[in-house]
Amino acid sequence: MELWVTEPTALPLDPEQLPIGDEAQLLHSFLDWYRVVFIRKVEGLSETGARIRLAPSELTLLGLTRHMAEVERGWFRRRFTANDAPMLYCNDADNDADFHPSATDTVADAIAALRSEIEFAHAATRGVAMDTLAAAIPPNQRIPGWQPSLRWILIHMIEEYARHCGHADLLRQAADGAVGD
Amino acid sequence: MTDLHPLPPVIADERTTLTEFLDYFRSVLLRKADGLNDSQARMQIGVSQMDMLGLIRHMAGVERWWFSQAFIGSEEPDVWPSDDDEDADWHHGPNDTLAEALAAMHEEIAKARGIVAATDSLEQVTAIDVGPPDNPARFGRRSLRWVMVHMIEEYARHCGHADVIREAIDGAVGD
Repeated sequence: MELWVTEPTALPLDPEQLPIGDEAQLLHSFLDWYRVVFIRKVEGLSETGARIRLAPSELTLLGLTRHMAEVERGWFRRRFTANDAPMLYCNDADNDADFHPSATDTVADAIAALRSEIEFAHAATRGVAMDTLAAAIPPNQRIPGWQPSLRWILIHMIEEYARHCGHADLLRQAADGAVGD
Repeated sequence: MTDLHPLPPVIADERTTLTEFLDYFRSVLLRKADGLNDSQARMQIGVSQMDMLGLIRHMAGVERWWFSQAFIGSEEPDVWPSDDDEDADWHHGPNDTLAEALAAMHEEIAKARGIVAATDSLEQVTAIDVGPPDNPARFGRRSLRWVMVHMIEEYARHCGHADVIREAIDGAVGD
Protein backbone atom coordinates (compact mmCIF):
# COMPACT_ATOMS: atom_id res chain seq x y z
CA MET A 1 0.00 0.00 0.00
CA GLU A 2 1.21 3.50 -0.83
CA LEU A 3 2.32 5.62 2.09
CA TRP A 4 1.72 9.30 2.36
CA VAL A 5 4.87 11.23 1.71
CA THR A 6 3.70 14.58 3.04
CA GLU A 7 5.16 16.12 6.18
CA PRO A 8 2.92 15.69 9.22
CA THR A 9 0.72 18.65 10.08
CA ALA A 10 2.52 20.99 12.48
CA LEU A 11 1.11 21.24 15.97
CA PRO A 12 -0.66 24.56 16.61
CA LEU A 13 0.03 26.84 19.57
CA ASP A 14 0.48 24.67 22.64
CA PRO A 15 -2.26 25.55 25.16
CA GLU A 16 0.54 25.67 27.72
CA GLN A 17 1.50 28.96 26.10
CA LEU A 18 -1.87 30.44 27.12
CA PRO A 19 -1.61 29.60 30.84
CA ILE A 20 -3.74 32.56 31.90
CA GLY A 21 -5.93 32.92 28.80
CA ASP A 22 -9.57 33.96 28.92
CA GLU A 23 -12.33 31.41 28.49
CA ALA A 24 -12.73 31.73 24.71
CA GLN A 25 -8.97 31.73 24.04
CA LEU A 26 -8.43 28.64 26.13
CA LEU A 27 -11.33 26.60 24.78
CA HIS A 28 -10.50 27.38 21.13
CA SER A 29 -6.83 26.68 21.81
CA PHE A 30 -7.38 23.29 23.46
CA LEU A 31 -9.84 22.26 20.75
CA ASP A 32 -7.49 23.25 17.92
CA TRP A 33 -4.67 21.42 19.66
CA TYR A 34 -6.67 18.19 19.78
CA ARG A 35 -7.91 18.55 16.21
CA VAL A 36 -4.30 18.51 15.04
CA VAL A 37 -3.17 15.81 17.49
CA PHE A 38 -5.93 13.63 16.07
CA ILE A 39 -5.03 14.31 12.43
CA ARG A 40 -1.37 13.54 13.21
CA LYS A 41 -2.42 10.14 14.58
CA VAL A 42 -3.75 9.26 11.11
CA GLU A 43 -1.22 10.94 8.84
CA GLY A 44 1.40 8.71 7.27
CA LEU A 45 -0.57 5.50 7.64
CA SER A 46 -1.27 3.10 4.80
CA GLU A 47 -4.88 2.18 4.03
CA THR A 48 -4.10 -1.12 5.75
CA GLY A 49 -2.70 0.58 8.84
CA ALA A 50 -5.76 2.81 9.03
CA ARG A 51 -7.93 -0.32 9.21
CA ILE A 52 -6.06 -2.10 12.03
CA ARG A 53 -8.32 -3.13 14.93
CA LEU A 54 -7.67 -4.05 18.54
CA ALA A 55 -10.26 -6.80 18.78
CA PRO A 56 -12.89 -7.08 20.06
CA SER A 57 -13.18 -3.31 19.52
CA GLU A 58 -14.38 -2.39 16.01
CA LEU A 59 -12.65 0.99 16.07
CA THR A 60 -10.19 1.84 13.29
CA LEU A 61 -8.29 5.05 12.61
CA LEU A 62 -10.14 5.46 9.31
CA GLY A 63 -13.50 4.99 11.03
CA LEU A 64 -12.51 7.46 13.74
CA THR A 65 -11.47 10.07 11.16
CA ARG A 66 -14.82 9.77 9.38
CA HIS A 67 -16.55 9.93 12.77
CA MET A 68 -14.80 13.17 13.73
CA ALA A 69 -15.77 14.75 10.39
CA GLU A 70 -19.38 13.72 11.05
CA VAL A 71 -19.22 15.04 14.63
CA GLU A 72 -17.76 18.41 13.56
CA ARG A 73 -20.45 18.70 10.91
CA GLY A 74 -23.20 17.69 13.32
CA TRP A 75 -22.24 20.17 16.01
CA PHE A 76 -21.14 23.19 14.04
CA ARG A 77 -22.86 23.01 10.65
CA ARG A 78 -26.09 21.22 11.46
CA ARG A 79 -26.74 22.35 15.05
CA PHE A 80 -24.83 25.54 15.86
CA THR A 81 -25.58 27.33 12.59
CA ALA A 82 -28.81 25.49 11.67
CA ASN A 83 -27.46 24.60 8.24
CA ASP A 84 -29.55 21.73 6.84
CA ALA A 85 -26.61 19.95 5.19
CA PRO A 86 -27.11 16.18 5.18
CA MET A 87 -24.89 13.92 7.22
CA LEU A 88 -21.66 12.86 5.52
CA TYR A 89 -21.78 9.13 6.16
CA CYS A 90 -24.54 8.15 8.57
CA ASN A 91 -28.02 7.28 7.39
CA ASP A 92 -31.20 5.60 8.55
CA ALA A 93 -29.94 2.19 7.47
CA ASP A 94 -26.68 2.53 9.43
CA ASN A 95 -26.50 5.16 12.13
CA ASP A 96 -22.81 4.31 12.60
CA ALA A 97 -21.87 4.30 8.93
CA ASP A 98 -19.01 6.68 9.72
CA PHE A 99 -17.35 3.82 11.62
CA HIS A 100 -17.98 1.39 8.76
CA PRO A 101 -15.86 2.42 5.76
CA SER A 102 -15.92 0.25 2.65
CA ALA A 103 -12.83 -1.26 1.03
CA THR A 104 -12.64 1.62 -1.44
CA ASP A 105 -12.96 4.49 1.04
CA THR A 106 -9.65 6.28 1.62
CA VAL A 107 -7.84 8.02 4.45
CA ALA A 108 -7.13 11.00 2.19
CA ASP A 109 -10.85 11.54 1.53
CA ALA A 110 -11.69 11.24 5.22
CA ILE A 111 -9.02 13.74 6.27
CA ALA A 112 -10.12 16.16 3.54
CA ALA A 113 -13.69 15.93 4.82
CA LEU A 114 -12.52 16.50 8.39
CA ARG A 115 -10.43 19.53 7.42
CA SER A 116 -13.37 21.00 5.53
CA GLU A 117 -15.66 20.68 8.55
CA ILE A 118 -13.00 22.17 10.86
CA GLU A 119 -12.70 25.14 8.52
CA PHE A 120 -16.45 25.67 8.67
CA ALA A 121 -16.40 25.39 12.48
CA HIS A 122 -13.66 28.01 12.75
CA ALA A 123 -15.62 30.49 10.65
CA ALA A 124 -18.82 29.82 12.58
CA THR A 125 -17.40 30.19 16.09
CA ARG A 126 -14.50 32.66 16.09
CA GLY A 127 -15.40 35.77 18.08
CA VAL A 128 -18.79 34.35 19.07
CA ALA A 129 -19.82 34.74 22.74
CA MET A 130 -19.68 31.56 24.83
CA ASP A 131 -23.29 31.94 26.00
CA THR A 132 -24.57 31.86 22.40
CA LEU A 133 -27.04 29.03 21.93
CA ALA A 134 -27.07 26.59 19.04
CA ALA A 135 -29.43 27.93 16.39
CA ALA A 136 -30.98 24.63 15.46
CA ILE A 137 -32.63 21.73 17.13
CA PRO A 138 -32.45 18.95 14.53
CA PRO A 139 -35.65 16.94 14.17
CA ASN A 140 -33.84 13.81 15.27
CA GLN A 141 -32.66 15.37 18.54
CA ARG A 142 -33.07 12.86 21.33
CA ILE A 143 -34.04 15.45 23.95
CA PRO A 144 -36.80 17.89 22.89
CA GLY A 145 -35.83 21.53 23.34
CA TRP A 146 -32.18 20.67 23.94
CA GLN A 147 -30.20 23.69 22.83
CA PRO A 148 -26.61 23.85 24.11
CA SER A 149 -24.44 26.94 24.53
CA LEU A 150 -21.23 27.37 22.54
CA ARG A 151 -19.39 26.91 25.87
CA TRP A 152 -20.91 23.45 26.32
CA ILE A 153 -20.29 22.48 22.70
CA LEU A 154 -16.61 23.51 22.75
CA ILE A 155 -15.86 21.65 26.01
CA HIS A 156 -17.76 18.65 24.72
CA MET A 157 -15.71 18.72 21.50
CA ILE A 158 -12.45 18.91 23.48
CA GLU A 159 -13.35 15.79 25.46
CA GLU A 160 -14.77 14.06 22.38
CA TYR A 161 -11.49 14.57 20.52
CA ALA A 162 -9.42 13.70 23.61
CA ARG A 163 -11.26 10.45 24.18
CA HIS A 164 -10.98 9.42 20.54
CA CYS A 165 -7.29 10.42 20.63
CA GLY A 166 -7.04 7.88 23.46
CA HIS A 167 -8.44 5.25 21.10
CA ALA A 168 -6.14 6.52 18.36
CA ASP A 169 -3.10 6.32 20.68
CA LEU A 170 -3.49 2.57 21.06
CA LEU A 171 -4.41 1.94 17.39
CA ARG A 172 -1.50 3.96 16.04
CA GLN A 173 0.97 2.35 18.44
CA ALA A 174 -0.27 -1.04 17.26
CA ALA A 175 0.00 -0.01 13.58
CA ASP A 176 3.58 1.27 13.55
CA GLY A 177 4.77 1.92 17.10
CA ALA A 178 4.26 5.70 16.95
CA VAL A 179 3.26 7.33 20.26
CA GLY A 180 2.79 10.84 21.65
CA ASP A 181 1.14 13.98 20.26
CA MET B 1 -21.32 0.06 40.64
CA THR B 2 -20.12 3.65 40.51
CA ASP B 3 -22.90 6.07 39.54
CA LEU B 4 -22.40 7.94 36.28
CA HIS B 5 -22.18 11.63 37.18
CA PRO B 6 -24.66 13.61 35.02
CA LEU B 7 -23.34 15.78 32.21
CA PRO B 8 -23.57 19.50 32.97
CA PRO B 9 -26.69 21.41 31.92
CA VAL B 10 -26.25 22.62 28.34
CA ILE B 11 -26.87 26.21 29.45
CA ALA B 12 -24.77 27.02 32.51
CA ASP B 13 -22.01 29.34 33.67
CA GLU B 14 -18.34 28.59 33.07
CA ARG B 15 -17.54 27.20 36.53
CA THR B 16 -20.55 24.88 36.61
CA THR B 17 -19.82 23.61 33.11
CA LEU B 18 -16.15 22.88 33.89
CA THR B 19 -16.69 21.25 37.28
CA GLU B 20 -19.56 19.07 36.05
CA PHE B 21 -17.72 17.91 32.92
CA LEU B 22 -14.73 16.99 35.09
CA ASP B 23 -16.88 15.07 37.57
CA TYR B 24 -18.54 13.28 34.66
CA PHE B 25 -15.21 11.95 33.37
CA ARG B 26 -13.98 11.08 36.85
CA SER B 27 -17.03 8.86 37.15
CA VAL B 28 -16.54 7.34 33.69
CA LEU B 29 -12.97 6.28 34.48
CA LEU B 30 -14.00 4.85 37.87
CA ARG B 31 -16.75 2.87 36.14
CA LYS B 32 -14.20 1.44 33.71
CA ALA B 33 -12.49 -0.12 36.76
CA ASP B 34 -15.70 -1.32 38.42
CA GLY B 35 -15.76 -5.04 39.17
CA LEU B 36 -12.26 -5.86 37.92
CA ASN B 37 -10.01 -8.22 39.88
CA ASP B 38 -6.29 -7.56 40.27
CA SER B 39 -5.45 -9.86 37.41
CA GLN B 40 -7.88 -8.16 35.01
CA ALA B 41 -6.55 -4.78 36.15
CA ARG B 42 -3.15 -5.82 34.77
CA MET B 43 -4.33 -6.86 31.31
CA GLN B 44 -2.57 -5.11 28.43
CA ILE B 45 -3.72 -4.80 24.82
CA GLY B 46 -1.84 -4.53 21.54
CA VAL B 47 1.72 -3.35 22.09
CA SER B 48 0.90 -0.77 24.77
CA GLN B 49 1.99 -1.36 28.36
CA MET B 50 -1.00 0.49 29.78
CA ASP B 51 -3.39 -1.30 32.08
CA MET B 52 -6.35 -0.27 34.24
CA LEU B 53 -4.31 -0.46 37.46
CA GLY B 54 -1.73 1.91 35.99
CA LEU B 55 -4.44 4.27 34.73
CA ILE B 56 -6.14 4.52 38.12
CA ARG B 57 -2.82 5.03 39.93
CA HIS B 58 -1.83 7.63 37.34
CA MET B 59 -5.01 9.67 37.77
CA ALA B 60 -4.72 9.60 41.58
CA GLY B 61 -1.25 11.10 41.14
CA VAL B 62 -2.45 13.62 38.54
CA GLU B 63 -5.26 14.85 40.82
CA ARG B 64 -2.79 15.38 43.68
CA TRP B 65 -0.24 17.05 41.42
CA TRP B 66 -2.53 19.64 39.81
CA PHE B 67 -4.84 20.52 42.66
CA SER B 68 -2.81 19.95 45.85
CA GLN B 69 0.85 20.21 44.89
CA ALA B 70 0.61 22.78 42.07
CA PHE B 71 -2.53 24.83 42.75
CA ILE B 72 -2.33 25.30 46.52
CA GLY B 73 1.38 24.52 46.85
CA SER B 74 0.99 21.59 49.23
CA GLU B 75 4.28 19.91 50.08
CA GLU B 76 2.82 16.45 50.50
CA PRO B 77 4.81 13.75 48.65
CA ASP B 78 3.75 12.13 45.40
CA VAL B 79 0.99 9.54 45.73
CA TRP B 80 3.34 6.82 44.41
CA PRO B 81 6.75 8.10 45.53
CA SER B 82 9.95 6.80 43.99
CA ASP B 83 13.50 8.09 44.02
CA ASP B 84 14.44 6.80 40.62
CA ASP B 85 11.26 6.25 38.55
CA GLU B 86 9.18 9.19 37.34
CA ASP B 87 6.59 6.75 36.02
CA ALA B 88 6.18 4.82 39.26
CA ASP B 89 2.40 5.25 38.93
CA TRP B 90 2.42 3.11 35.77
CA HIS B 91 5.07 0.69 37.08
CA HIS B 92 3.17 -1.05 39.83
CA GLY B 93 4.51 -4.09 41.66
CA PRO B 94 2.96 -7.53 42.08
CA ASN B 95 1.62 -6.63 45.53
CA ASP B 96 -0.07 -3.40 44.47
CA THR B 97 -3.85 -3.64 44.36
CA LEU B 98 -6.66 -1.99 42.43
CA ALA B 99 -8.53 -1.42 45.70
CA GLU B 100 -5.63 0.61 47.07
CA ALA B 101 -5.36 2.60 43.83
CA LEU B 102 -9.10 3.35 43.79
CA ALA B 103 -9.02 4.44 47.43
CA ALA B 104 -6.19 6.85 46.61
CA MET B 105 -8.07 8.21 43.60
CA HIS B 106 -11.27 8.77 45.61
CA GLU B 107 -9.29 10.55 48.31
CA GLU B 108 -7.54 12.85 45.84
CA ILE B 109 -10.80 13.64 44.03
CA ALA B 110 -12.44 14.65 47.32
CA LYS B 111 -9.50 16.93 48.15
CA ALA B 112 -9.50 18.44 44.67
CA ARG B 113 -13.23 19.20 44.82
CA GLY B 114 -12.71 20.99 48.13
CA ILE B 115 -9.86 23.06 46.72
CA VAL B 116 -11.86 24.14 43.67
CA ALA B 117 -14.94 24.97 45.77
CA ALA B 118 -12.82 27.11 48.10
CA THR B 119 -11.34 29.13 45.21
CA ASP B 120 -13.36 32.21 44.26
CA SER B 121 -11.98 32.87 40.81
CA LEU B 122 -11.08 30.67 37.87
CA GLU B 123 -8.37 33.26 37.16
CA GLN B 124 -6.45 32.41 40.34
CA VAL B 125 -3.12 30.83 39.41
CA THR B 126 -1.11 27.90 40.72
CA ALA B 127 1.06 28.50 43.78
CA ILE B 128 4.13 27.25 41.94
CA ASP B 129 5.60 27.40 38.44
CA VAL B 130 4.92 24.26 36.42
CA GLY B 131 6.03 22.88 33.07
CA PRO B 132 9.50 22.26 31.64
CA PRO B 133 11.97 24.56 33.46
CA ASP B 134 14.14 24.83 30.33
CA ASN B 135 11.31 26.20 28.20
CA PRO B 136 10.26 29.72 29.27
CA ALA B 137 7.23 29.69 26.93
CA ARG B 138 5.75 26.71 28.75
CA PHE B 139 7.12 27.17 32.28
CA GLY B 140 5.13 29.24 34.75
CA ARG B 141 1.81 29.57 36.56
CA ARG B 142 -1.48 28.18 35.24
CA SER B 143 -4.92 29.58 36.01
CA LEU B 144 -7.51 27.34 37.63
CA ARG B 145 -9.47 27.67 34.37
CA TRP B 146 -6.49 26.17 32.51
CA VAL B 147 -6.11 23.37 35.05
CA MET B 148 -9.82 22.46 34.80
CA VAL B 149 -9.82 22.29 30.98
CA HIS B 150 -6.58 20.33 31.06
CA MET B 151 -7.99 17.85 33.58
CA ILE B 152 -11.11 17.29 31.44
CA GLU B 153 -9.03 16.41 28.37
CA GLU B 154 -6.56 14.38 30.45
CA TYR B 155 -9.38 12.26 31.86
CA ALA B 156 -11.14 11.99 28.49
CA ARG B 157 -8.01 10.78 26.72
CA HIS B 158 -7.32 8.19 29.39
CA CYS B 159 -10.99 7.14 29.26
CA GLY B 160 -10.31 6.45 25.57
CA HIS B 161 -7.47 4.14 26.57
CA ALA B 162 -9.70 2.54 29.20
CA ASP B 163 -12.50 2.03 26.62
CA VAL B 164 -10.32 -0.24 24.50
CA ILE B 165 -8.69 -2.02 27.44
CA ARG B 166 -11.96 -2.71 29.27
CA GLU B 167 -13.69 -3.98 26.13
CA ALA B 168 -10.81 -6.44 25.69
CA ILE B 169 -11.09 -7.59 29.32
CA ASP B 170 -14.79 -8.45 29.41
CA GLY B 171 -16.60 -6.80 26.51
CA ALA B 172 -17.97 -3.92 28.59
CA VAL B 173 -18.37 -0.69 26.57
CA GLY B 174 -19.88 2.78 26.98
CA ASP B 175 -19.84 5.27 29.83
